[in-house]
Amino acid sequence: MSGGTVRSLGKGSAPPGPVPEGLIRVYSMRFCPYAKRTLLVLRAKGIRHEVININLKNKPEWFFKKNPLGLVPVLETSLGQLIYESAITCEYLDEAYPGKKLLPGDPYEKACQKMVFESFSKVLTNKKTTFFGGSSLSMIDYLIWPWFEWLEALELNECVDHAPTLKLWMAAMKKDPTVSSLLTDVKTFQGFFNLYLQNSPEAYDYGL
Amino acid sequence: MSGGSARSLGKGSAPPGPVPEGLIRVYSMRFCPYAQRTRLVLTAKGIRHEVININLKNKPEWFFKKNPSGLVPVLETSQGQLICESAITCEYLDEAYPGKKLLPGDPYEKACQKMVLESFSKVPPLILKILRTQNKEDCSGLKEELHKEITKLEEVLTDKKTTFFGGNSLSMIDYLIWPWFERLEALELNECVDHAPTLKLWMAAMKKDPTVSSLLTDVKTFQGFFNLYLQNSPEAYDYGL
Repeated sequence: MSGGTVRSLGKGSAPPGPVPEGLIRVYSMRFCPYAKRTLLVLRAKGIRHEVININLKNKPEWFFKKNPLGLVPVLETSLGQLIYESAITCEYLDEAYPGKKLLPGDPYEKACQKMVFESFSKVLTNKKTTFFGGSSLSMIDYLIWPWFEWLEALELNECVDHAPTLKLWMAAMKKDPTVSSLLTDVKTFQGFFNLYLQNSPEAYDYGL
Repeated sequence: MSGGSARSLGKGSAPPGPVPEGLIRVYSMRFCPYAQRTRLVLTAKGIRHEVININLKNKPEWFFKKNPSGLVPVLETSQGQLICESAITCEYLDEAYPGKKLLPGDPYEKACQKMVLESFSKVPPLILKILRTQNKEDCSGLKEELHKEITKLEEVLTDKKTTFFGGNSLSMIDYLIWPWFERLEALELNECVDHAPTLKLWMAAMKKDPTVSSLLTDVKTFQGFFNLYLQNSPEAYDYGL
């Protein structure tokens, strides 16, 4: 269903057709942490979706009609509505689709999550709960997670050595079914980074 | 009620007591465009509130307990809950208080307003840079950039074919971007909207809104503030009082 293993579309590719009813489409890139946020929320809420991966070093001309900034992630509905900016896509999905709400209903609690998103590092030193939104996993944890997944791949784990609560959080996150179902292994990340640093367009389809 | 004309509190001032029930407090500064967003929403929704102005060049020590970053605006409820970041305060007020909703109920329409806010986001730091730049050469480069950003917004509004950024009536996104347009004249940046007829019409319509006009600051007062602000004077924040 996710199509997350599909080769990326690049310059000269045919524009995709309209999004079938009952589905939402996300323009993504397998190794982009911003797009990962959207994929996490789609997965966590069980939203039927299709994924089109974009080659970010060799963007299709038609992609700029989806997002003038040419960035992923972008959501496209079957009505042709386009939503971009990762945090905006995540909030849109939470509101537009039924099932478990990832953002709290209480306005103050919601504001708190947004303040955390804004000043992540300041909150770190004051964090007293297992997850960033409380004792269970919620939106803010998914928004932050992709960068920590990167930490391991970049062998920057030492960054969390002085933050025991953060290490515990990472361990708890990896146990979450949604997070673990989208985990990319370290070798694949490293393969991507290698090629990416060489400015190779092959990077985006590494491992396929 | 608004107390928007109260002298600012600085270092050594006594911390204010708890917020009385039935009221919400906003820590503000009379000339801060970010804090103006919050005051616009408070006024538009008719929310009973009190204003405490902070001297941003001479901040009270207690203020950092309200917001560790020491910035305004900050909301404080009678339960002692604190909310920072201007856009977050505005959304909080819209959700927590009854009356006219400033944000659309439809998730897509709401997302559209947030995308417009994103595309506006380069404007505030640009305008601040222009204010602080004395050198004419650097200034003209920055003005070029501002012109580009304003053209983007002109296109957004023209494509929408509505008077306001959220439709045919004024809504959240208009209040969120207004404060910087209000300051264009005082900063002698009116030329930046010269080639933006749709935006000019929007600005005229905004000035007619009762909420916007009740919080309008005249050009001379802004310029008095800017003068003192650029000299790093703590007097800036109470200019005109």
